[in-house]
Amino acid sequence: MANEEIVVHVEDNQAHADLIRRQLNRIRPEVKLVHFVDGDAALRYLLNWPPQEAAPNLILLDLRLPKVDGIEVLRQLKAHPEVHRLPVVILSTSNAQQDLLDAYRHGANSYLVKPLEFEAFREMIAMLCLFWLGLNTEPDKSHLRHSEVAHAS
Amino acid sequence: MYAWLIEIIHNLAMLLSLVLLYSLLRQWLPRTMRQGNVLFGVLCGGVGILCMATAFVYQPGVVLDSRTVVMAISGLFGGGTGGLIAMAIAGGYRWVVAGPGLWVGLATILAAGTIGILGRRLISRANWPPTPWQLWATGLIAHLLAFICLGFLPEPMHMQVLGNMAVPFLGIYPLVVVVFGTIMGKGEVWAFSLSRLTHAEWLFNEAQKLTRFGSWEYRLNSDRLTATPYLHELLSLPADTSPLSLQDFFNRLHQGDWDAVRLAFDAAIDGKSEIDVQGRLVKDDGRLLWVRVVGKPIVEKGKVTQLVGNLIDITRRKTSELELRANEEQLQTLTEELTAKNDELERFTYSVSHDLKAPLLTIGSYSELLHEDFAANDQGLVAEDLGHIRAAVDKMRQLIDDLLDLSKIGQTISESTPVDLNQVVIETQLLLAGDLRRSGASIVTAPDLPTVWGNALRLRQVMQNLLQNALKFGDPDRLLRIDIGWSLEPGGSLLITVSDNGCGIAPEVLPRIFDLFAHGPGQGAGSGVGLALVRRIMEMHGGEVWAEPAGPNTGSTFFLRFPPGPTPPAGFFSEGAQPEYTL
Repeated sequence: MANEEIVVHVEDNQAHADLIRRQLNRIRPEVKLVHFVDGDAALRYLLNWPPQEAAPNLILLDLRLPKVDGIEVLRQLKAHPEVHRLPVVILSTSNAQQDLLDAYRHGANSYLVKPLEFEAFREMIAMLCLFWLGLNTEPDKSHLRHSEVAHAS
Repeated sequence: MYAWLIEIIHNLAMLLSLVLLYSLLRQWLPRTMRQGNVLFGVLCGGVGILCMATAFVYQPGVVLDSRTVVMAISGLFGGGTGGLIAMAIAGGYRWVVAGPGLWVGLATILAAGTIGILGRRLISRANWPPTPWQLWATGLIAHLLAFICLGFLPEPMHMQVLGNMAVPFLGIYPLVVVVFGTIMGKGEVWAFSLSRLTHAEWLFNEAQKLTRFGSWEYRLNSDRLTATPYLHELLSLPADTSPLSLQDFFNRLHQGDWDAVRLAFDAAIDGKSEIDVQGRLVKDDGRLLWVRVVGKPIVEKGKVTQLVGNLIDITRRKTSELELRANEEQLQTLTEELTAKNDELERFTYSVSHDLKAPLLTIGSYSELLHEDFAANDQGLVAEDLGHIRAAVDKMRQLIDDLLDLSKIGQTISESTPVDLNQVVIETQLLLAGDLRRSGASIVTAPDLPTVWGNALRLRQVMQNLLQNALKFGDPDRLLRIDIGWSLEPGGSLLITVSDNGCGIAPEVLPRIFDLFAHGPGQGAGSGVGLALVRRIMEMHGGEVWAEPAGPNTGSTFFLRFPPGPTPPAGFFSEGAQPEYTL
């Protein structure tokens, strides 16, 4: 499917991952969600995803992750010559200044603090999809894909 | 023919003895002006009597003596008091002797003495002692008056006497007044200067004692070191030990300071620089005095011939300096510790709120979803929702339990005993038997683990957390193997190692793994408190803990270091220890 929309979600908390999957399924059933439980797995996928798969439209990233920390994942993504164009939205329960500073310094496109209320959480996911998968315009992904292949070879 | 000359010299020699006696007595006898004047008056009176008693025949029919010179001097140098006393004594003697010339004899005594007193009054104190001219003028006037008195002698005598007496009275005696007045004046100046000098020296010594510095002077050619009394005291040498050599000074100096001081002296002897160096003096009782030695070379004809300088006792300043530095260092350490604790506390607060929020969101959200799924009668989803809720509750409970445990360490440990680490490992293995069996992990323990001094319960917690950690981060591709070993370090510390072949620790997180919530909640297991607890317990035992990766994906090794010896460090397990965090 040429214009399949892909969202990558990196989250070690299985309950939260399921929560987002369910909300996304409910509002945007056509979106393909790829979930990773640690930073290492996410990096391995994102820095060279399989050629048959399209580049993701959005990356949702938690900060506290096993193996490779969220900030480190962000740093590596944003340091990559091609992948850095993909929008990365930090999704964390932390509102510590240090975390916010670190995230923006390393090029996070947005930082969202997980609300504690279920309704607010659900609403946030809806708006997130509306903005990043609707309103927001991104560079042509096919170009990214081609140059990525060229880059790889 | 010259008999009169001999007689005059004889007379004057007596006067000289007066001067010598006076200057001798002056040092020992009363210091005040009045007492000195009384004494001087008595002395002059006595010498006046001596003069009259040894009168000589100047020319046939003329008997002469030098009483007028003595009287003039008594008035000049003894003032009113001295002059009157001298006149009274001499006059009294003349009265007793009596004879035809009694009145004239008395008159010459009074005339010379009075002019002496007047001279004393007229010459201002500022110009004291009198100049030779002033002395001569006083002597001349005194003897002129006495000479006039001679004119009152009975008729046949007086013309003859006046003619004969003119030479000694107007020529010789005023000059004798000049000579002896000068000697007296110099003596006074000398005595006065000496008393001033003695006083100044006394003041100087007192000042040196008060300010704790001694002065010295070193002559190069004779290797002679001259020191003030207080410097002798500083060097623990009797005040009369002299002369000193430079070596005497170095013998008192702490050997550790020899090179520096020697260097400073050599540079000064070469004329290159002044001396300013610090060192320690060793007192007889072994006490150390911090001193600062300053000095400068004195150059004569282009060559350094001597060094002069001071030696200042700076022990008090140095001690407070050292104390201050120690305090500053202590303060610095405390500040750093406090800052570190503060940072940890801040991280802790954020982490706690963060890590308590996550399960809260889970519980809240899945309770809502539970409603929906129940209404939709989706049994599978209901079970899933309940599973999430339950896991979140478990995690919160574990987190709270661990935090309470951590906060309690300082309060609950109150005794330490010898702990057999073999026993600790066996008990921990039993505790984790279920998990170990499920994971298929094997634990290989080195034989004869030593016994340490500590708290068995807490040390079991350490081992438990390390093993759980290894279990948590096992590599799914291979069976977990944990090795427990030990070794003794050169300093006598004991090193326990716990190695695994799990997935290892990324180098960038390594420095933080013992911080609270370093990982955040992992996949289901662990609260992020375990390794913080391990570090805390090891610190309580005076030891430390750290980890090293064996390499990427090749496991980790945890090191536990116990201090040498059975004695726990000060403050170990003190009852009053504060919990790190209050929840």
